[in-house]
Amino acid sequence: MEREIIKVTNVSFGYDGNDVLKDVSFCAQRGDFLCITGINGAGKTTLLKLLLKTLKPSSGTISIDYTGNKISYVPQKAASFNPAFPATAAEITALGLYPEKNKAKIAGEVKAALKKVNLQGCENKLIGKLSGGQQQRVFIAKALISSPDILLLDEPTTGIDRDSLGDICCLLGDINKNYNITVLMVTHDIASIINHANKVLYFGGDKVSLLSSAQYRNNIFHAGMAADFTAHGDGG
Amino acid sequence: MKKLLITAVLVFAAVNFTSCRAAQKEKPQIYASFFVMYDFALQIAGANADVYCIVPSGAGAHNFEPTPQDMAAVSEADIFFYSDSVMEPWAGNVADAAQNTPAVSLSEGLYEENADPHVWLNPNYALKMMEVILVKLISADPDNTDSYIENYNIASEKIDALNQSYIDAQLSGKTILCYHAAYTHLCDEYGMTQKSVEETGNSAEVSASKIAETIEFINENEIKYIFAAPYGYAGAVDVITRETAAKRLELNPCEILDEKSRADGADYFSIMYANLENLKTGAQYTASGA
Amino acid sequence: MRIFLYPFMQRAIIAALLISAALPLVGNIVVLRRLSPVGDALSHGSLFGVALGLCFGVNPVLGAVLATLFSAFLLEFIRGAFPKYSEISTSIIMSLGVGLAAVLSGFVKSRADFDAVLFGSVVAVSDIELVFIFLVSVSIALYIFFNLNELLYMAFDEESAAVSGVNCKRVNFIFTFLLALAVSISAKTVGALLISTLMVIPPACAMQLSKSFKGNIILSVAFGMFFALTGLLVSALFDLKPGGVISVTGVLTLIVIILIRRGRKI
Repeated sequence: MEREIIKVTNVSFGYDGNDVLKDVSFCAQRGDFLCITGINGAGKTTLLKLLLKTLKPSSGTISIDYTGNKISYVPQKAASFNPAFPATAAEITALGLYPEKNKAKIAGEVKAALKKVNLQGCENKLIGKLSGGQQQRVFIAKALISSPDILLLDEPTTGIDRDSLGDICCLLGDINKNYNITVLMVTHDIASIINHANKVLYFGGDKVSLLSSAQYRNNIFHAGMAADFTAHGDGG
Repeated sequence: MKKLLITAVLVFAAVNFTSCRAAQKEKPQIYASFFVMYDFALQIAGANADVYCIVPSGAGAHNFEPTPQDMAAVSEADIFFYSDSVMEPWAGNVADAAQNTPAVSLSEGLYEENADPHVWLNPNYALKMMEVILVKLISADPDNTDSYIENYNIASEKIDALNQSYIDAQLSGKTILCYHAAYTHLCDEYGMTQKSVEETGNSAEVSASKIAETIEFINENEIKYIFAAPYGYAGAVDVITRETAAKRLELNPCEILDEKSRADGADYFSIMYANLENLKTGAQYTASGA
Repeated sequence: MRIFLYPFMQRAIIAALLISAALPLVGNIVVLRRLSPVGDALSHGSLFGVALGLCFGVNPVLGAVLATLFSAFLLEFIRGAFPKYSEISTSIIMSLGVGLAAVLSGFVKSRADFDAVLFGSVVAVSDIELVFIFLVSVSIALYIFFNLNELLYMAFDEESAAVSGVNCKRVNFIFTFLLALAVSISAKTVGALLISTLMVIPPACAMQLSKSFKGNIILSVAFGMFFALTGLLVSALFDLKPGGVISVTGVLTLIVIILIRRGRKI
């Protein structure tokens, strides 16, 4: 069996006595495309933060095979993101290389990263002048520029128009396949991405289950899960 | 705890009660607006009355804002002396609040409207102001009439001496350059001409063109001294003395007195004598039609 | 025009140029990180320091530095008490600054001093003050230059910046310190009430026109200096208060830029 690149064992996390995550366990292999979905407020973003080590679990262990593995993160596009922010796509993408200072190297990598997300030639465009979908691709380029092995994304398709949606999902699928990057993506819009994913981590009301995407697709129509869905009003 | 509270209340009541009784034999309570008014009142009242100055040490007389305590204190007072509403625009509010206390304007009638309000810098006017104080004190506290008259006579002699010293200094015909036009009455009395940087009675923000003009003027006329009150003017005088050969000489308009000087016993007379010395040093040029 | 031959005017110009470079430099970050209320709060906090200086003979710039730093710390302290409503802390500091200045206004010795506190007195800059202004401006410029990436990252997304290894706490601390210094040197010169003008309007103008983050910074400094020079020129020629003219110049410029851009879009 291929070595697990991420292994989460019995992890719990809570604030002030409220448990956000309770006894979660799952693992991911290199090259997996894992969709993280489920009811609202179940702790999906929290899980990403635990993986990034910005939060520490109250109990349990997370082991990420860090040897030679880098992890990159595309946060949820903040509603407060100001499109008037005066920075070019290149300047923002370059942030992914922090703390690199060599200007020539940065320029080269930025060009390559933007090419990967089909934004070649957009280096000097102001981020505010790009469409929602293009902006998101810049943020993905920023995450890719450091050549990560693991890519975490938090709701990358929220607020993107339907046309660009498909592009982004295909892009992520390509990234996963072509560069063998392990992708973990929190999303509500699972329908668009399910074809590219191979696993689903489903946050139900009381437990978290790891399924293959095939299982997930079948289970949607399974009575129990559908009940879960409709009861919590999640249109997923 | 309860015992402590009762004791405290009893002590509190006792203190108040006794001080109430003492109040019946109190001296006249006199309030004056700012330093020199306070000084004049003190000269005449001596130990016979309690004299207080509303504007605290170091504070400006003109822009002062009286506190509610000030208003309350004045309404308990026997007399409130102030210069006039030009010098102390806030005095009117205090007078209104203290309806039963006579508010006496000491500068009234001594000068024309819109002119320089610093009348007390002319020693003879100062005496006139002290005369008004005398009259008011006598009518408020007739028992001490003799004492007040005696104090007035002493003050009168001092004024004469001061006046004579100024006359002896032969300042007539000289011109002085000063920052703020506060010395008109002093100059008029002794035949001097006052040339000032700031024309308006209430100096507004330091103006670049005015400073430039003054520097020109100083350089053209080879003026050696510029007179200014012993406070800031936001550094304008420093700018002038830095860029010319002129030195700064203090000419105190008796508006403000800081704690230290007061503790050292400074009063109107000592300040005016100090001013005289500086005038003797500095008022040495006669400018033609400047 | 001859007025500019006088050393005091030349000093005023140098001081104004330095300040109008330093303020937009920090102003950029203040605007992008939505810290404008903080800038405002510190400006009002400095009022107290300048007033203290002019009333009691303490050097007003030094007074401003102490008061501003004190305000900065007090701001953080109060903010800690209202984690969800941090704007309360800025209002509190503003009230404190104005209130204390009001108390001190009773001790102001001349009207010129009082006006200077509010609107600055750029024509009365002493040697020491000029040196201090120079040192602070240069420090700010150097810091911004060498930490451009960190500042951009934190302005863009502080969380990601922290994850990528930016020492956000330290940058925040140093930045607040430099902001306080920038406010201090400006308080006595362009006046506490007008600091926000030079801090916020040049970046605002720049943001309308810039094509990149680096460009934005350079442009904002250019605008700042332009406002300061124009303001001084006009105020000297027509005998108006420099601080006020600088402000009005800034606002008019911003409006003109916005109108021109609107016009182009049609």
